[in-house]
Amino acid sequence: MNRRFMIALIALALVPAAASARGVGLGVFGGASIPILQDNATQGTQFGARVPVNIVPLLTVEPFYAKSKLGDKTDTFAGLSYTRDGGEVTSFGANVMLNLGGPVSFYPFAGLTSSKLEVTGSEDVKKTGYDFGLGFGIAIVPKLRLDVRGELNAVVTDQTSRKYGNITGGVSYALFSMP
Amino acid sequence: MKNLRLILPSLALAALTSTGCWLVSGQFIVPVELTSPLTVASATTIAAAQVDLNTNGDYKDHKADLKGLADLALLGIFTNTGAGALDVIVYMTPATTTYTTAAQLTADGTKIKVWGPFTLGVGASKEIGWDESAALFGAAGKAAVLSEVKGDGIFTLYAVGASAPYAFKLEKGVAVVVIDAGK
Repeated sequence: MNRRFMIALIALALVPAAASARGVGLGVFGGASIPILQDNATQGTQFGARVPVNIVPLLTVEPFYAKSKLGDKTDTFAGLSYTRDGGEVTSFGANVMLNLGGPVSFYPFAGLTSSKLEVTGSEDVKKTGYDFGLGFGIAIVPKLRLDVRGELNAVVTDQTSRKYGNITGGVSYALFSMP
Repeated sequence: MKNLRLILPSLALAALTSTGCWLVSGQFIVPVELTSPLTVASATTIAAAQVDLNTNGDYKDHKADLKGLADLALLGIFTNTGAGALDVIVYMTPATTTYTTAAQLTADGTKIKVWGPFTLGVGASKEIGWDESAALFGAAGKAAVLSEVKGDGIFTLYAVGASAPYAFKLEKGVAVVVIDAGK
């Protein structure tokens, strides 16, 4: 899917949603990104920002930006050691989550991303990604919430995919919320 | 609420299955060591490096499920043993060939340039890095190698100088192919 088209689509979808939202927040997150079944990269880090928009009770849409820096891969061939850049993954996307509410909650989520894979010496790959996972949230003080999430993110590269397991912790602040 | 609990996982499942079985896939490194040293004494004394990916277990395991190439590299230590500056270029012939002169290679209509140029000064010796080597594969070269990787996995590489006279050697040479395989 065209990257600009997808971002525009997400933005358009969120304008009316945000206008009539029951709550809007702002959050940041960071953690580990683990390549799955990828010999040419190792565990790295991920950070990003997200804007949870509570549209209707139980349902939250969350546009986000995430950037992963994967670990380099070092291997030995013919007795010599070589290191390959693990690359970076930059994603814009949106998750939909089932928000059960309350000060402590578990919530499933799934979403779409427009992702760019960059590795030194290789052409950039821009593709659509899918993600799903489970989060755990706890409100530590009014308006401030901590979240821990585990997700599988797969960027589809034609008939295969690059998959990442992301484990992140984050904090979000409720800019406004209806009672 | 019951509906929502069903809708979210259903949407995720639909997204996963709608575009095929791309989730069951992976990227695997397939290294093949080349003859070492690979000595090119002059344009009239070149050497062939035959590559048979079938000697690698990962390649054999995933050959039936190959979809593409995630990465390519030609690694090793290049040494310029000639009297002038050198630009190393690597050609591939899809078949197993044993040319010993650049003229024979030039006459082969099936050959294709896959890598280079890699520049070395007079008397210079350099272990090329993985990142640097990956950048020296052109689009046509990648396509040609992919065709062979998806085919019988057997092909021949020739390293030559961009312009004669030249002389160099490649020690501990390795062709590294990262295959993209999926069910």
